[in-house]
Amino acid sequence: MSSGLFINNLTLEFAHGEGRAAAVNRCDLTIRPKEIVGLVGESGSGKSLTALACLGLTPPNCRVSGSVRVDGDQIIGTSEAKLAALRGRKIAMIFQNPMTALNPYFTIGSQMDGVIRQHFSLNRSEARSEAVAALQQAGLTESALSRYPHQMSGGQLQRAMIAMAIACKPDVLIADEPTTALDVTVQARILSLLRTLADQGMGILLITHDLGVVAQVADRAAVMYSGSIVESGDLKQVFSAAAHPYTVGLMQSSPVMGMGRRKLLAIPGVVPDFRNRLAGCAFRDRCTQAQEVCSAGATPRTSVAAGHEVHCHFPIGQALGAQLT
Amino acid sequence: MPSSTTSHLVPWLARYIAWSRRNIFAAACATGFGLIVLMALLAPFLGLADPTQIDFSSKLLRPSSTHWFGTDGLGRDIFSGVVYGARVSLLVAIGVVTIAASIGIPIGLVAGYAGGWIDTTLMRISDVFLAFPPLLLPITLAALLGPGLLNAMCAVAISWFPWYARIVRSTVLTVRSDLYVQSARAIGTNPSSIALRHVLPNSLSPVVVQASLDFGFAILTTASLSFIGMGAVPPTVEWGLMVASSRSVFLEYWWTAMFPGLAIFLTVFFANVVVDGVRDSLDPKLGRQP
Amino acid sequence: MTTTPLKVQNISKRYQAQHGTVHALRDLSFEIHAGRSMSIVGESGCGKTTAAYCIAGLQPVDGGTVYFAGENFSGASRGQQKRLRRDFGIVFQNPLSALNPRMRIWQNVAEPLRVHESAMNSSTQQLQAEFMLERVGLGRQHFRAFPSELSGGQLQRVVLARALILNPKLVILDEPTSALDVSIQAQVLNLLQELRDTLGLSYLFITHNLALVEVLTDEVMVMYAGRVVEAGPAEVVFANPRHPYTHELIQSIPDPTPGKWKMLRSIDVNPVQQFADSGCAFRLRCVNARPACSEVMPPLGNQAHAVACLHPLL
Repeated sequence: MSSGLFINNLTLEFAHGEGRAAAVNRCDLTIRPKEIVGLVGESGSGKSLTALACLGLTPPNCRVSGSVRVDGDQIIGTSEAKLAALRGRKIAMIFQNPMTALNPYFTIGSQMDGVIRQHFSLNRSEARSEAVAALQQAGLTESALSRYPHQMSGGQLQRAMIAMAIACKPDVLIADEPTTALDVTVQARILSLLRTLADQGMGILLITHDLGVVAQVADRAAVMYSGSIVESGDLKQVFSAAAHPYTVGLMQSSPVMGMGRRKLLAIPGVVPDFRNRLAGCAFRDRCTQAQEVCSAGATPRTSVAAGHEVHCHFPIGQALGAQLT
Repeated sequence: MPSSTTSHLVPWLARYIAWSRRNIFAAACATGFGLIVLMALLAPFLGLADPTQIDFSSKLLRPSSTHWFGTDGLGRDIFSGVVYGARVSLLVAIGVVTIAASIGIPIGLVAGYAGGWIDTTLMRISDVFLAFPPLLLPITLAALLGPGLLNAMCAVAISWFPWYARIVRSTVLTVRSDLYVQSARAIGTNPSSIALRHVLPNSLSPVVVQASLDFGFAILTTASLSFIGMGAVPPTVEWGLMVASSRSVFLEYWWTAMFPGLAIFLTVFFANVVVDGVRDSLDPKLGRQP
Repeated sequence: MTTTPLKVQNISKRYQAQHGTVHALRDLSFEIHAGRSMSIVGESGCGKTTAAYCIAGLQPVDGGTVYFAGENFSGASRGQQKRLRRDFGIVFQNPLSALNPRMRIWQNVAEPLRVHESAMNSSTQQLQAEFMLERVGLGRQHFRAFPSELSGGQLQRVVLARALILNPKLVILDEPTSALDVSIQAQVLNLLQELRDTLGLSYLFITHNLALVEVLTDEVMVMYAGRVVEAGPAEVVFANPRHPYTHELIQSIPDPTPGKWKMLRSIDVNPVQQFADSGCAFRLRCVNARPACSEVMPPLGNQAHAVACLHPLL
């Protein structure tokens, strides 16, 4: 009933001067089984920290508050021992650079064996067949078990990492920029694999800066800017009727094929460092529609359509959304 | 280059001070070290007795209000000897490290940047010096060069330069393939200009760490050389020499060895703690808890 | 005879690796005319970065010649090469590591002046560097800063200013926006477009992102396994790709525009990644492969829209 990943009011703070600054500010996000949620953000948005918080892997100098529940189990504030039991078994993560995320001194097989036998009491050969099953699901053959990371290509390594992550059949998978370091033809295949995994029952949080990747594979989308989620909802809604000025700006500045020599519409300014964030709406100094009220207090959460929410004083209406097509 | 050093120095100093506030022990050691340096700088102005003044009538006196650390076998005031000795020791430390770095850095730079047979030759020559046990080479060289503090310093420096050469060489190997070096090549900068303007300044930070580590060891090694008669000779006032000259009497007259020995110990100890602080404050990743 | 900013004739580059010789580049030839720009696209290992490094003289070529403004560059002595290096600028992928961290921003930009205009005194060099920095849109407050104090987008502008300070006619851009955020990438691309138009520059643009090709360049070459497999005007090649690899590349690109989302086809899960040794390097991955493909290496040809394939699509 309550299966899936439930992030509520998640706040991650670091020391700054005499006080604290929040790199992630009161985020809410839900990922249910069989769905892929795309979390879109650029550098400085806090998306990778959010991912780490879901596994209790934030750095020691980071203060975590709020709630992260995986199938009813709380992650925040739980002891390392209990977390170790949850990681891999209920919730798993794959990272951007597979070459550095896998231990170069051990074969894929021995790394997978270690993970599987930590969560299940199986003997060597049973664990091996589980590993082979996971590898095949990820598109690799049994020969991968005896290979070392440096003997495999980027795409194969990413598949190996996915295989390790799904070997214990977790309910939730967090993928942090899984295809950014890969060629586009390999990327298409990895995304297809993620879609298949979701169709088979996994809930996936896909973190990326690439709008195209989200459009291709996700069911729902959330857009993050400077620590807060500014827009979230059903994929079609968010992409065809984007209501937050930042989302609109992102879409307009993403280059697509067939644009010709058209000038790209850039968002002026730079993403602020979370330590120097403005009061009120963090986006206001780059926003074409900012007004006085945007600089004071919290931005309101408006429901633009069913399941489509935006945090903005002046969400862009349906008229402009239609102009994007 | 000078501009970048000063503009990096000021914020670093602020970070070092902030770090000291959190770590009392290290701050105390830093203060101790600072006092020793101050003592060395101000020695001539403190109105102390001449440490080389021999006075047989006051030999081997216990510590008292007239002679705070007592006197040695030749009647010389030990307190004054310790204070003046600080000048020598600090100068020696700076001198040794400077000489070793001056030999090692160019060798490492040329070896790392040129590569090929030049690299191999230079590194094999350095390996010869590295192969000796730590004190044996300085002793041998000092014996060859003859007594005297300057010769001792050179002996130590010559046996230490390979460390600097190696450190610089390995950093140069990395920096050599950095994009700004490729950009300099693409612009048409000639190789020696690239080595001096781009590669060298960016290969020096590990050297700073090594130099500060060696500071304390330089004092210790030179004092050891003086102790066995290979280093400073009278009338030079040097802590190792003071310990040496107390060899025959210190069992009964403990202060003749105790105070110079303590001076060596404390200076090297403080120097090493200060160096740890230097390294920690250079590392931005050790952030504090919110 | 008019000279072109860049002419590349049959350049090749080989490496010795554990398993044998790697042919990173094979007989690459092309020409960029004044005011025109060219992109080289391909995935990792295709040879496009090697091509950029060989053309810029950062690696020696094993065969063939590179000509800048009609003069032989790759075969020239170091002194002659230095003189010819004024004719092109280069922008790399990672802006932070492309600048000397211990030199101030204006000093980094003034380096080419120091190297080539030794008669110019230091304050004139500084003035020219600052002028160029303003031209690329960097605020005055950053001129005396160090690279670690600036953001990625700002740093890439600095690298661009340095590349342009000697007024070259050609700029080699090696993945200049890959390391930047999407919103910053748009700013930098706009700047590149504007400078190209106002200064009459030619670009050699290396990228893996096909969507950027038409933003900056007129023509495109698609590389695979060290060879060009398709070449021609960008619009034509992308609208009607004739080589199976180009087709696969275009099909794989995710497009966020509503209405253009592709349903993910069930893709072959275990693709062959390695290059074939004989005949066409792509034949192991190609759905159209026939027996003839393993015997003959298909030539590229000279047409406006050229393709190196025995059985091209369309």
